Amino acid sequence: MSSSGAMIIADRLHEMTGLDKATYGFIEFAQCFEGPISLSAGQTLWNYNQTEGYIWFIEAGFGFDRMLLEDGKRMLNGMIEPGIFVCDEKNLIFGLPTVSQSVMNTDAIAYRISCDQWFAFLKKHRAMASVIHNINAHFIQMRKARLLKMKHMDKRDYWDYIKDRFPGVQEFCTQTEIARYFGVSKSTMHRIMKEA
Amino acid sequence: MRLFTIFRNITHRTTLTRSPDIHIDFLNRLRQLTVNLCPHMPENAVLSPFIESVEIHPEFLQNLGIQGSSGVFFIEKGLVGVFHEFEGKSRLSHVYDKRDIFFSNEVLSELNKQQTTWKDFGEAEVLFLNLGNEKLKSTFPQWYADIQMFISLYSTYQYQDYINSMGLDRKAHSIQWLKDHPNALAQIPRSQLAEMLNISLTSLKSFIKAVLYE
Repeated sequence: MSSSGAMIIADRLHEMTGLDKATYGFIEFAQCFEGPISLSAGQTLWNYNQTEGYIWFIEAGFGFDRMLLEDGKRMLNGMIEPGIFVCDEKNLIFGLPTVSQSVMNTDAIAYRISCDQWFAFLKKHRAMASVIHNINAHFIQMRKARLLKMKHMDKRDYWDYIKDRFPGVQEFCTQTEIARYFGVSKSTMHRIMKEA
Repeated sequence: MRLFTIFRNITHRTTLTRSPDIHIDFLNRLRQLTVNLCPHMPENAVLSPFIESVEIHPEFLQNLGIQGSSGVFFIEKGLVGVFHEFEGKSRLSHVYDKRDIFFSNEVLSELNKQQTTWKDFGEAEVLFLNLGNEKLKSTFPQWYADIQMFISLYSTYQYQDYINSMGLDRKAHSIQWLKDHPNALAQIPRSQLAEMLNISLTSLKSFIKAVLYE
C-alpha cells in the first residue's frame, strides 16, 4: 500500500470519527489495505455467492449495490460513493457466501482488505475495535431511519429525496430494483416516478 | 461388569459436581449465532451465573448502560415489540419472539435518535446476560472483546435484514410472518401489525383469513 493511499483512508477515518489518527492506529490500519485498484465503469467490487470477502474503501467513482433477497429477487440497497467503506455483511459476520453485489457505474479507484485480515487487526488493536463500535452505532441510526422512511414517509417525497441522494439512480438501476427499495410494486413505483 | 459399574459411578459423580445449566437453550442459541466471530465462548455452565430473569419495563430500560448493565437478551416466552419514533408517533418496527436473541445497544440512550424502546406484549419471560458484569469482563477478556465486536456488527446487520424484508412480496412475506408468529394475533393490535408489515388493514384482514382457514 502506498503511503499516500494509507493517508487517504486514515484521513477519512479521522473525518468520520473526529479521533486522532496516530492514537487510534488509523494509519497502521490503512496500511493493511491493498491498492490503489483501478476499476472501469461496469466492473464489480464483488458479486453474489462469493466466498472470499473484502471490505472496500472507495477513493473515487460511483456505483450501486444490490441485495439478493430470500425470494431470489434483487433489491437496490444503496449508492457507492467516494469516502465510503462497503462490504457484504453476511460474509463478514458469518463467513457465508455473499448475498449482495456491488457494481461501479463510473471509473473508480478503490482499496480493499480481506475480512480475515480486518478481524486479525481488530483483535490486536482494541482501540480500533472501539472506533468500529462507534461507527456501527451511527450505522444503526442510519438504518433505523431508512427503515422508518421506507415504511412511513410519503412515497413521492421519498422518491424526491432518493433522486437527490443517489444521482443517476434511474439510469443505472431497474424500476423493479428501485420498487423493492421502496417496498412497493413495480406499477406503484412507475406511478410515483411519473407523478414526480 | 465391574468396568461398567466404575464407569457408571464416574458418570454419576460428574453429573453431581457439575453446576446445573438451566440456560442451555439461550447459551446454545448465542453460541450458534456467534460461532464465526467468537469461537472461544466459555462453557454454558460458566456463563449461566451471569444470567438473570428480567422484566422489560421503562425503568429497567432507563437503567440499561447507566448502571453497568448492557448485554444480551433471550425470550423464553412471549413477545417483545420494538418501537421507534417517527413524525411524532411511536411505530412498531419489528417483534422479538420466543427463542430470539437481541441486544441492549438497540435501546441505549446514547445515539438513540429514534427513541427506540421495547414493549412487552403480554407477559414475556426474558433472560438477560449482563455483559456489564466486571467479573465476567475480567474472567473472559478475549471473549468479552469478541462478543462486543459481534454485537456491534450484528446489530447493524439485523437492521439490514429488516430493510431487506421490505423488498419481499408483501402478501407472501406477511402470510409467512403470521404463520411464523402464531401468538402475534392475540397480543399485537391489528393497526400496529399492519403498520409493521407495511400493508393496509384490509390486506391484513385478508391475510389473516388466509392463514386461519388454510
